[in-house]
Amino acid sequence: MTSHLPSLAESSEIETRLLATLKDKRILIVMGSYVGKRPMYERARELGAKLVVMDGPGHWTQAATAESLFEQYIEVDLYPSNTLADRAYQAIRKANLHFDGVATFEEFAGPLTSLLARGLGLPGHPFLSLAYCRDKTLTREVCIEAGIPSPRFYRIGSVEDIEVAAEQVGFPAVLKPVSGASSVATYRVDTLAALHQRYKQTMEAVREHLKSSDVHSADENELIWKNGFDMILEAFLDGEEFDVDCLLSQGEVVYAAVTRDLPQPYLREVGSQMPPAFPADKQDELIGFTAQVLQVLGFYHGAFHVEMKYTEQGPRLIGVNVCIGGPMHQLNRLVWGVDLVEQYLLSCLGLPIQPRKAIEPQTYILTSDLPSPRSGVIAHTNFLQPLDTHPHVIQKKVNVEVGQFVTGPESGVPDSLGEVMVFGNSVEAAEQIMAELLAMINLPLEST
Amino acid sequence: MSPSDTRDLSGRARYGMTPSLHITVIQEREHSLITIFKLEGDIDAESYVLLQDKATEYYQTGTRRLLLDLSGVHFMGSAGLRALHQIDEMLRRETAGEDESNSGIVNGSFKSPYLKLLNPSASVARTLKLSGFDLIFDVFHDQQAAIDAF
Repeated sequence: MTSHLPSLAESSEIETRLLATLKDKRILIVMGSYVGKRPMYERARELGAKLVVMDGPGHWTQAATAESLFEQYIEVDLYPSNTLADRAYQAIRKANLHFDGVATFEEFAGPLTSLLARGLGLPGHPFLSLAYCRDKTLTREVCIEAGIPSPRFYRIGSVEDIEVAAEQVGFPAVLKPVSGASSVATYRVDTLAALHQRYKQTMEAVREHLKSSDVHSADENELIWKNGFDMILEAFLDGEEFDVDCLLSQGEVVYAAVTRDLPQPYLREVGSQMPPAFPADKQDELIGFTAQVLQVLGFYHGAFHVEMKYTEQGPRLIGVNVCIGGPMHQLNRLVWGVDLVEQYLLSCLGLPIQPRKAIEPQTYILTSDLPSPRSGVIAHTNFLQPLDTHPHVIQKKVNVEVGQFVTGPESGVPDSLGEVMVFGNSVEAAEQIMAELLAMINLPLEST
Repeated sequence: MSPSDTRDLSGRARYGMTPSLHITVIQEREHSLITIFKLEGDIDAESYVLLQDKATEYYQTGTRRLLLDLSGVHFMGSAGLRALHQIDEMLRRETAGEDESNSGIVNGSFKSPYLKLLNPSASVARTLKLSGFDLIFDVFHDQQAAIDAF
């Protein structure tokens, strides 16, 4: 982070007092999630919260407990998964600690977190609402039942379902896991033959990759398939994709901000823009749609990341994530001065929240993924070094290792080699800075 | 696109058509409080109310333990999960103590001692697992073992 970034607005006296209530509050973190969530835990610790994390043996948060990021680590066997809630509850009771709240930053831990919160007599989301969100077909059914328009879809449990799915949904369509996240294994298919091929390839890859049933909460890609290999085929929607980060308090939207996902040739997020270059009235429509979806799903408080497309007919839902996405904490804080982690933790204590959103954006942020332009082997990993001293780079990250084989678009969906986040004093300025920076990067790909 | 454009929701739920669920009730003779519902058809947005109403009817006449035989259920979606959840809450409300009812924990477990599931199809079993419902409902493949578990 550079000194050119605007400093965050001072908290009001009321906000400061509210945040002070987090000090020394002990919060149970259900499943530590992937290591990219670490900054959120660090923020919670800065606020004085005592975090006790519960996860399986060898999770990265276990080592982080030794570094005092967490007060205590409660180890629990994750399998068999159908009795995990009971084992987790017993392990928590055995720890003999008083908890003030229960939270999770792991999308897949929703139903478990709900049960544990109820078991401990603490605030939490309704179990049924979280159950609906773990399966995209269930989310869509609930929305349709409530009159919220939704694309045609069909659940594919085996190869026998493919013909009916194609007949029901038509083409073009999108094939993805019912329990998906981060666009993993998400493909556009334009013909029945392509659908057959993609489904077969995905199932082969999953079965090859999942060598063990002991899936860790740090392995997001594997968690998607943990409870089964069902996929959803849904009608492809024309239009741009947006995300709405939303905070609910006592059933009301108290904060919402829109992020534009940059055009996605491979249906994988390749970058995002906050605030978006998109008309304000349409952003309001996206936010209103988000509120409607969360209401019909039965949510009342907490932090949500809702993905949708803006089509010619208006917003259409892609998915509801009942947690804060990795980079979204930083984006919302820098652009609108709202710290989602602070607000989420306060809501976990059962406190009403009312964050102050900046009237105007404090900065303009653009993130870009670095998709591999072709298949090859990574020669070195210092390809982002030219960006080291650039004053507008907020963050950069290499996603590959030396010697790693990566896939380019000619072989399917390209692998991500890295990510860059920049800021500017306007949307256009941020775009120009990003274009200049990307031109400076020489991706180190050797042919095989 | 309007909701009606969804045609045949997920290929199963048929809005506006006759509910496709048939319920046969079997009273377990040796255990007077246990009732078995043998379900055939789909538990969808049209039919879930039949299941809820039947469970309420039997609850009002004394049933406190319910075993749902799902072997004849081809499809169970969000409405089916809602019905299971609602029935379990109803059974817990009167049968469990206040603390147990509030915490969802009876005898140290989140699993319902009042509602159990028998022989779900592979597809229904996957829905239960994906949604986390396998955390709160025991699933059996043998009727006697299910009855004995109450």
